[in-house]
Amino acid sequence: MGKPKQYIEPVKNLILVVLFFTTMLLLYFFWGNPVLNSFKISDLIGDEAVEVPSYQSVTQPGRIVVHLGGGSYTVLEEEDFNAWQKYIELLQGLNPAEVLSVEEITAEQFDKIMEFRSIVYRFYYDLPQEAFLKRYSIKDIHGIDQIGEFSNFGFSSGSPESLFIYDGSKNKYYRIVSAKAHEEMDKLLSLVESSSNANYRRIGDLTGTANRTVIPIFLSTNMSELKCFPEFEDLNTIAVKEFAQTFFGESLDFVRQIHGSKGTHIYMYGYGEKVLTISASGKVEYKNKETSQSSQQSYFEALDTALQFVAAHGGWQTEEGMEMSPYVRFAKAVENNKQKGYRIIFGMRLRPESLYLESSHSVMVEVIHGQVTQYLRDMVYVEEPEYLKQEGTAKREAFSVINMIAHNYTYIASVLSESGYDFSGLEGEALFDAVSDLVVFVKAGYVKPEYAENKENVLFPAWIVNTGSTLIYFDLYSAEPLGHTDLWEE
Amino acid sequence: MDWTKAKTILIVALLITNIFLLCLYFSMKTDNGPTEERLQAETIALLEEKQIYIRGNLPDEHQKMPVLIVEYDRLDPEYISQKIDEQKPSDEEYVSREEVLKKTEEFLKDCGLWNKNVVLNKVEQNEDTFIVSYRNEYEGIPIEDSYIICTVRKGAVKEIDRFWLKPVGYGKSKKATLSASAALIDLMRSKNERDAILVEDIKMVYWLDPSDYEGETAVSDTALPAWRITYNEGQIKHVPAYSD
Amino acid sequence: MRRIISVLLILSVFLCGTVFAAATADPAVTIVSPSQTVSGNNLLVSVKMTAPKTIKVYVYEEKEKVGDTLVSIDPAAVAEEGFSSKTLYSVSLITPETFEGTGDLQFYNKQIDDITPGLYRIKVEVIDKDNAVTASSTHRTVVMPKDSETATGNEIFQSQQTGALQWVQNLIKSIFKN
Repeated sequence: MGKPKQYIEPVKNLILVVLFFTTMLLLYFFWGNPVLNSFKISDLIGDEAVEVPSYQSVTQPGRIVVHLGGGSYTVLEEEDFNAWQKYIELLQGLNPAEVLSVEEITAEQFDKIMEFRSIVYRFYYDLPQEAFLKRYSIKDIHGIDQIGEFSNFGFSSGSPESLFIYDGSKNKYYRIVSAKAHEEMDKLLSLVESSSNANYRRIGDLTGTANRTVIPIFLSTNMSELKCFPEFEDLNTIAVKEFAQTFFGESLDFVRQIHGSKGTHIYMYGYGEKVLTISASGKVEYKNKETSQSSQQSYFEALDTALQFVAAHGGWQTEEGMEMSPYVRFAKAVENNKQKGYRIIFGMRLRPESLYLESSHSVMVEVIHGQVTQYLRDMVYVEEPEYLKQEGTAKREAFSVINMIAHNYTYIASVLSESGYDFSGLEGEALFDAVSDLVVFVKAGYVKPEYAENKENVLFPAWIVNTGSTLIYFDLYSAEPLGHTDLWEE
Repeated sequence: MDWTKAKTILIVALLITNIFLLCLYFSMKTDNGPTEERLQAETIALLEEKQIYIRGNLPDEHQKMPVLIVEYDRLDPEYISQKIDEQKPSDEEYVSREEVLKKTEEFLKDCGLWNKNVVLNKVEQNEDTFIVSYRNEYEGIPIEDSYIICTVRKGAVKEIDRFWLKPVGYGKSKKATLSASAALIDLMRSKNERDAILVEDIKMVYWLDPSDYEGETAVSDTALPAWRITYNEGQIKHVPAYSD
Repeated sequence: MRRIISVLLILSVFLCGTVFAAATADPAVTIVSPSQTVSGNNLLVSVKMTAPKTIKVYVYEEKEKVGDTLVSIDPAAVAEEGFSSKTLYSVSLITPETFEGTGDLQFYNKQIDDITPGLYRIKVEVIDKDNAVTASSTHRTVVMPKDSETATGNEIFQSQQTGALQWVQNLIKSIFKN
């Protein structure tokens, strides 16, 4: 049969097509919509590898102070001479069989031994002893467990077989006595001596008081005002939605989203167990009230959790602007609903100078029993060409640190009074002495004040004065107060 | 390659697949029926053990639902005050219920507060005062808590209490919701009272709790599906309906 | 008689003491640093002002003549004998600096690098708007060589005695040293 046969093939083609489509349709009805919607390339390829800083890179001394003798000091930056790494290697190399003793010493003995050529690595928070020894693979030395926390580490050429430790939580000093002298540290001191300028002095030497905090006598710099940009300028972009999505799983479609009258975006899950707030200025606050079912973590485990969490929620760098280096600025143990954890404040370094925000922190993470309960992110970025432009300008002399404190001691006293310090009955020189005794460090850096008339989004070069739990900022050149931050304010 | 033979084989294979899928589809549908009824009966029995009694039947399971995006629609108190003052009260001693409803509707229309989402909820009378309540409904589903309560005396609106969420649109995707029985089990779990619970009404609504958020004034928000359970003479509990 | 007594008094003031303050010192101007004895190879001068004053700061090294040359004074010798018997020649280390203080508290500080052990004198004059000197104070300091601490490192950790006992120990040591 010729004629019908030539129609069979086209008909078969048609039937094939129809059956194909009906199969697809049935499959669609069978499994419903979500099949298509939830299909994402990222699920196939996997998320882009995000850079996570190591715990070593973020755990650096807040200040490395080298005494060159006669009350004359210099201060090292983290990468100078690999100073901190050398000390860590020294600790790691300690052979318990060669350690003669670990003994407590008095504060006076510590001060006296540091009168020799010496180096002190100062942390402005406490590193729990057990976690520190374990994480840095320092061998178990008999007697070392009497030290509760490591706050400062030191070496003095006056006792080269000793390593000195200060426990900030107990306010006690210790020395680890070895059989042999630590020649590497002595070599380091000589290297520093021959290549550094000794332009730091104790506050006490300048004012006639007892404060051993070192401050620069002069600073010649070309730091100037820098324009900065918030990480999230327009909250209605895809970038912000993708960022918010990282907190709530795949999709924001079932998350309660509230828009406030001032431009704030709030994302809420459940009855408010998980809330993500992004203000119009780009500041991010995430709170998770769910109780963790995991066990308690050590400080470094909590630090690892924090580092991973931030990497997965926004990352450690801004999309634009110059690269910044994160570091742990302060940390403290916290407790919530009988569960213990840590609150860690991270700072950002532009180059050697750090960035400070008066009303918040670049990154703050609270980790309790392995769960991030609070995450604060207020990242600003600076364009690299703008930063480099400073290097072409002439250097100026910064305002003298001691005179900056002398001009502002009543202001500093009023700020500290708000935190509970009592200066009643003190005025004039006596008040100044009391205030200057509280200074723990003074550094040059960039500050973004909370309110700056006509200068929104500007970083000001500033002196940053730390009195323990408060940071107070002054213009680097005019010593005008710029504001202050209470480190542990809720 | 013998295409004709290949095509024949493909057609047969696809046909078998289609028939198989159709059978599976219908068998699943019919399977759900009796299972769901049995589940309902079992749930009712379980709840009664815990002293939770249901008046009437449980509503059917809802299909997948999206979220509802809403905007806060706030009244300008001065404008409303002015509109209230502009009204002419009725001269008659007695104003009928129908008259009151008519007047209230007119007033709301005049203020620009009337639209297809405004649905009469109830009318209460206390001597010469009528309390007329309206609820907010979008495509047949109530939005809570959102209401207009008008106090009417002598045929004129004396007071308005309004908390209005203007529906903007649905979210992009849909998600499965809890069945009514599951919602009641949730209620049972959260109740600490020893007293018996008589469930008078259970209905799917869109719901948001404005007190969950404290801060600057909210402009827009998201209402999520929830089962509104009315029990023990008017007590209300909202149970979030998205299954996690 | 009175004149002889006053002359004797002035002479004794000159002969004794290593710290010598000018008769008219301004109470608002204090030399905080350096202290009587310092060590190292730089010198920190710190002056505290508790009123708005203008000061002029001079830093000298006190040298003695040996033959025809001026040499630094041996700090160890100063510690023991004092320098009252020596004729001192002041050699200026810096161009005298004028500093105008403002407010009710201000510090002038200057670090002079690369100095050698010896005897140094800091003079601070308070001058008025006509450049006339209204007050003056002087302060001498002995600069010891670096690392010349009397106690070695380990001695610091061995001494657990009380201060009084330490003093007696030091006294006995100094008697028997000679």
